[in-house]
Amino acid sequence: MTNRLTYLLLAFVLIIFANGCGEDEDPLIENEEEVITSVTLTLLPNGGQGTVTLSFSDPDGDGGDDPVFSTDGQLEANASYRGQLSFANATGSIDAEIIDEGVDHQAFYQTTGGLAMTLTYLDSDQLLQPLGLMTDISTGVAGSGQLTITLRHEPVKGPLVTISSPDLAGGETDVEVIFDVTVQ
Amino acid sequence: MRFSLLLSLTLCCQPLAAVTSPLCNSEIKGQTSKVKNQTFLASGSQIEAASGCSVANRESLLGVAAGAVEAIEESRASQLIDYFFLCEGLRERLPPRRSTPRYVKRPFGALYGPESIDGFHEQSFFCGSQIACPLFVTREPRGSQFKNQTSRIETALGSSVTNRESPSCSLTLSGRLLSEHDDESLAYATVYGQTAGRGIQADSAGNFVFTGLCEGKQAFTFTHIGCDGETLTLDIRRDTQITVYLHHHDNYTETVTVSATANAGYSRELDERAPQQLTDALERITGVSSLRAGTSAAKPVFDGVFGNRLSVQNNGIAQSGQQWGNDHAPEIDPWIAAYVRVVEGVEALKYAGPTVAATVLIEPAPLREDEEAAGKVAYGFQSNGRGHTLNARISGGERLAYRLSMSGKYSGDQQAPDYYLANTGRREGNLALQLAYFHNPKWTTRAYYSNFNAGIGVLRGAHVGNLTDLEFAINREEPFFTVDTFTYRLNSPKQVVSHHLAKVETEFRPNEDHRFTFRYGGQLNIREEFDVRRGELNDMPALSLQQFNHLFEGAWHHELGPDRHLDANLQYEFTFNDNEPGTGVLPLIPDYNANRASGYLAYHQEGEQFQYHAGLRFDRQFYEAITISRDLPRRIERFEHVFSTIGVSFELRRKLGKRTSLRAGLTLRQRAPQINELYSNGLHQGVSGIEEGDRMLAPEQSVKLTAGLLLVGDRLTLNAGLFAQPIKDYIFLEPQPDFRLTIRGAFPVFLYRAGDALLYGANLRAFYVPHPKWEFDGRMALVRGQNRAEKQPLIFMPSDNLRLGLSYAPASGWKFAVDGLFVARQTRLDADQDFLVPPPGYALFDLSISREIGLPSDRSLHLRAAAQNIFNTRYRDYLDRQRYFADATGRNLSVRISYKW
Repeated sequence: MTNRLTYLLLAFVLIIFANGCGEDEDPLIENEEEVITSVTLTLLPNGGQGTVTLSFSDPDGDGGDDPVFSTDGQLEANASYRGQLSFANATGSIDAEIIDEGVDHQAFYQTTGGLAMTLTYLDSDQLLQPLGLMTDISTGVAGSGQLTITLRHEPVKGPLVTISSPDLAGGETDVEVIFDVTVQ
Repeated sequence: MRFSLLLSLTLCCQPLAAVTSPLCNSEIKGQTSKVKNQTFLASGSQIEAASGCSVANRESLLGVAAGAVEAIEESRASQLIDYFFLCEGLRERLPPRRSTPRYVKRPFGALYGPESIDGFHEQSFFCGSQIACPLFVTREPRGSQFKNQTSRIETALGSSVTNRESPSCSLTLSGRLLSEHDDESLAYATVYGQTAGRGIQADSAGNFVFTGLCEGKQAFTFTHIGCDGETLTLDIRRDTQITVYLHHHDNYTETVTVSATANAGYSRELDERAPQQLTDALERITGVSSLRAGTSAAKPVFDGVFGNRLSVQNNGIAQSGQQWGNDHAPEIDPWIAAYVRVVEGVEALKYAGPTVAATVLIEPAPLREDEEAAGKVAYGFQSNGRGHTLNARISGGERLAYRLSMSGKYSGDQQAPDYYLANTGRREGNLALQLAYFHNPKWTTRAYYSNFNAGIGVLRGAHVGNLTDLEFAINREEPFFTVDTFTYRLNSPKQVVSHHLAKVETEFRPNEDHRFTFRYGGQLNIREEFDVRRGELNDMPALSLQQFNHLFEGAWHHELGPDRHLDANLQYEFTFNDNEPGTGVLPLIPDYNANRASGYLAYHQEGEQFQYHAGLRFDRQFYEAITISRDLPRRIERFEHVFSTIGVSFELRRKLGKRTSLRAGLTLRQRAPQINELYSNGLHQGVSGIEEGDRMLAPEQSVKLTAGLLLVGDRLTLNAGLFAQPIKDYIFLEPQPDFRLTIRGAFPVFLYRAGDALLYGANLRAFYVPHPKWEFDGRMALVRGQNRAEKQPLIFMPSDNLRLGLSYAPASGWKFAVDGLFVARQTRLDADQDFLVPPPGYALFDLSISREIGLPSDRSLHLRAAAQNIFNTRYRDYLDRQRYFADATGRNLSVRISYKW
C-alpha cells in the first residue's frame, strides 16, 4: 500500500508542475474594432459660405480621459448646407460598414435651445428607409443651442419615426453626442 | 385451515412423563399422576391447550425417552409461526402435507422449526434424549393476537406435555445509525418500532439496542434531527444487527421534522426541480433568495450576501469561474444533487471559496459498496418556454460502484403574462460520472467528473446602451424588440458557458479513530458572452474568458472519544484566468494567475445536552494581475498582491429539555478582495454601467453573530434564527455623481470602494403535521442591510418574504400541494440609489398533483403535474435586473414523468 501511496503523491506533484507555473508572455492587446471613437459632421455649403466641421473624439473609449470637441468654421444664418456624417475608430473610417448595414442603422438629429436649424434626410438604406449619413441642413436666425446626433443600431424604422425622434425608434445607441452650436 | 400436529411417543420413553402446570388454559384428559408438583400424563392421555398457547412435551429427567409427539386436530385454522424442539438426537420423520418447511437440526439444544409457515401441516416428530426432550409447540396467529381456539395434543405413552406461555418476545434489533453523507455517527438518533409501539434512543455514537421484540415483520422508523427519516420493515426471526444510513442534509441552517411521520421524498423533491436552474432549487432553503438577471441567470442570496460573499461547493470543490458577475449563475445542474444545503460557521470554514460566513453545498449521494443497481429516467415539459427536459441516472456496481447522470434541456422564448420575452431560450447538456472503488474496508478511492454546458439567451430588450436608452426602456410598457411569435432560436445577446470538474479522492481509514483523505479537484470554466454587434462581429463574443483551477487537499478526521472529534485540512489551490483574444473589446476583468495556501482545524464536542464546535482557518492568497491600461498608449501593466486572512468560528448548541434546543454562533472571517473588485474596468454591458476596480482595497473583516431556537413537538417543529453581521471595509460599488461621457452617450460609473456595513435579520420556519395526511410548511426571512459609510441602505437586499406550503396525501402514492410565495416591496432604498423605484410586492401561487405508482420488483413510476404562478400574476422582483425592462415570467404549466428502477 505504501507503494501505491507514493505513486499517488508523485502523480499529484506531477500535475502541479505539468500545468506550468502560469504563462508569462504578455497577452494580446485587443484591436478594438467595435468601438467608435470619433464622430464628424461636415456641413458643406450650398452657396458661398465656408465649410463647417463639428467633431468629437474620444480615443480611450470608456476610459477616464474626457472626450475632445472641436468646431472648425462658422455657421451662417439663413443658409443651406449639405451635412455629411462620418464615424471612425482607431482602425479608420467605419462609414462603409454602416452603409453596408444601412438597414440596421439610423442617425437622428435633435436641436435644442436657441439653435434654429432644420435637418432632413437625404440618403436611405437598402429598403429605402432613411439612414441619415447625408442630410439637408438649413439654418434660420442667429442663435446658439445644442445639436444632439444619435446613431442607433437596429432601430425600428417606420413612418412614425422622424429625424428628431430617436426615442420612438428604439434600438441601441452606438453614438450620442451633444454639440454646442452657434449660428451667426 | 386445519392443522393437525401429531405427537407420538415411542415406547422407549418412560412410561410416565412429567407434565408441568399449564400456564395457559389447558385441560388434561387422561390419567395423570403427580410427582413433586409435576403432573405426569399417562400414555394415551390428552392435553387440550387453549389456542395461542404453546404446549411442550418434556421428557422426564429420570431416564431416556424417545418419543414423537403428534398434534391433534385443530378446530379453526390459524397459522403456526414456529416450533421449537429441544431434543437430542432428533430425527424428523415425514414431510408435512402442504408445505415444506426448512429444518435446522442440531445435535444438542434447539431445533428450530420452519422459518415461516403459512397454513398448516401434519408433522410427526420423534425425539429421544437422555436428559430432556421437551417439545414446544408454538402457535400464533398473524398479528400476534391470540384467538379463541382450542387445540388438543395427544400424547403417547409416557410422554409429558408442558404447557407454556406464548413465546416471549425477546429478540433484539441492534445496530448503528450513520449519516449517508459522510459516515458520521448520528448521535441520539431515534428508533421507533411501529409494530412494537415504542421507541428508543441511540447513544452518542449512534449505536442502539432495541430489545423485547416479537418475531415477525415489524416496521421501524429511524430519525435524527437534520435528516430525512427512514422506515424499514424487517422480518425479525432472531437477534438482528443492521446499519442504517440516514440522508443527513442539515447542520443548523435547515431543519426537518422529527416525528414519526417519515418525510419521504426529500431526494425526490429535489429531483422534481431538475428542470429549473440550481438557484430555484436552493430557494426552498429557509433564508435563501435569488438575485436574478431575468430568466438567464439566478444566483443564491443567503442572509443578504451573494456572489463573492457566498461560495458554492460543487461536490466538495469550490465552484470556480466568473462568480463575480451578477448575471453569472453557478454552472451546476441540480439533477446531480442529492443534497443541497447551506452551512455556516465552523462547518463553512472547511471549504475554499470567497465567503463571509456561509457556503452552499451541492452534493450527489455518495456511492456505497454493492450499490444497488438502480436507475431513474425522467421527462418534463413546461408550457412557459415550451421547454423539454430529459434526465437520466443509473447506478450500480459492487467493488467498483458507479453512477452516471445526464440531463438535457431545450426551451425557447419564455412568456410574461402579456407578451413573449424575446430571446430568452435556453439549451443545456450536462453529464456527471461518479465512481467509487472499495479496495478494502480501510481504503476507498472516489472519482467524479461533471460537465455542464449551456447556451443562455438574454432578453433582447434588456440590452440597452446608455442612460437615455435605459430611461426610455424603463418607461415602456413592453420591452423593445418584443414580437408576438414564439421561437426556439437563440440569438445575441446570449451567454455560452461550459464547465468541467474532475475530482479524484482517496480515503484511508487505518482504524476507527482516524480518517485521511487526499483530494484533487480540477476545473475548467469557459464563458463567452455575445452582444448584438455590427457585421461579422455579431458572431464574436464580446467577453471570452477561460479559467483553469486546481485544488489539492489533504484532510484528517480524528475521533478523540465517543463525543469528540477533530477535523483538519490543508489546501493548495491555483487559478489561471485568461481572456481569449479576438473579441474586439478590451476585457472587463484582466488575465490573472492566483494561488492560495490554506489550513483549517476544527474541534467538535457533541454531547447529548450540550454541543460545541470551534474552528480556525488561515488563507494566504496571491494574485498576479496582467492588466491592459485604460489610457493611451495601451500597454500591459502587471500587479501583484498577497492577502493573508483568517477565519475563526465558535458555535454551541444546548438542549433545554426534551423538546427545545438553543444554538448560538460567532464567526469572524476576513475576506480577500476578488479580482473584479481590484481590476474591473470597462462597460459591463450586462448591468449598463462602467465599473472600475480599486487595486488598493484591503480584505473585509466580518463578524457574524447568530442565535437560534429549535422547538420540536409531536406535530409541530419550529426553528427560529437571528443574525447580525457588521462588516468592516465592506467592498461595494459606489455610484459616482458624475456620468462618464463617451461617444455612446452618458453612462453611470461605479467604483469599487470600501466602507462599513451592517447586515442583520431573522428567519423562521414552521413545520406542522396535524394529521398524517396533511403537512404544512412555512418559512419567513427578513434581512436588513445598512451601508454605514454612506449612511444609506445597502443595495440588493432581499425584501421580506414568506413561503407557505400545504400538502395533502389522501391515499398512498397521491399528493396534492399548494404553495404560496409572498414578497413585500423593498422599501429600504434611497431614491438616488437606483434608476427605478423598487417594484411593488407580490404573491405567487403554485399548485401540484403527483402520483407515485409502485410497480413490481421495486420499480416505480412517478407522475407530476404542476402549475407555477397559477394566476398568471404580473409582477417584477426587486432582485431581478430584468425589472427595468420587462415583467417576470407568467404562468407555467408543467408535467413530469419519471420512471425509477
